[in-house]
Amino acid sequence: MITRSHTETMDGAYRALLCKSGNWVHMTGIQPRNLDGDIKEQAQDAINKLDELLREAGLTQADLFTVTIWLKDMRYFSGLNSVWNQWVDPANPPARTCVSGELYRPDLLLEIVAVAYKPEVAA
Amino acid sequence: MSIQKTGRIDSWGPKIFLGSAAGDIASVCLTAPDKAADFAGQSRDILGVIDDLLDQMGSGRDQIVQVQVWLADMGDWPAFVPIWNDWVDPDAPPGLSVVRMDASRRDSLLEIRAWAMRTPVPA
Repeated sequence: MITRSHTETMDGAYRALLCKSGNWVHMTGIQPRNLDGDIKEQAQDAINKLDELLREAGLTQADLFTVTIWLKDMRYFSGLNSVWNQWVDPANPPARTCVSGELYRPDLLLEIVAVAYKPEVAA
Repeated sequence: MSIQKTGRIDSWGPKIFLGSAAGDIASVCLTAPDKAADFAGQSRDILGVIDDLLDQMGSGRDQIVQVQVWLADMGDWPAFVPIWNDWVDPDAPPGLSVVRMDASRRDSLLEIRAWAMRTPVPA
């Protein structure tokens, strides 16, 4: 049984931002909402969105299994990291990959794909 | 339980399997089987292979939780959207992330990875 939520389209393409099945929660294509922001603003906004999705699913950043960040250009790496480091639990940061890749809108500077794991609590 | 693999490739490039599954998770990742096809043809061919291989691994299109699309040219994104929308269930779509990449061949226009849940097939 897969639960899918946040099914707003991305530039016309059908997609679910969050798909949950068993112990796994996939949060794919998390983007900032303020595309007029610089890298720090966009990174903060995307992380806020990730936080909202985690909260909704009853999860915290400690439940993150992997985080993939697609960054428009590696010149934004330090800006991203300064926001990331403010957000993470310094004692238990998530596993993360960050690779550069142009996104579907030129003013979109990053996108997050996150997978979380949490054993289901018996009802 | 061992890892189930399917979709063996032994052609011009790497020796690989396109699909693998373990426990309740399956992954399929590939570029187009016919690089002579145009962008729409390559897209549909890849999605068709994903259908076939997921089916062989006890999964299916409706069980996909996350799709990563890499496009050699982000200019092809608008052409991808209707093909994608025809393929997914608009009421229960998977997660979608789209990024531009450099392909291994000039005639390889996109690559897609799908992660899906499945009912494990007895060996």
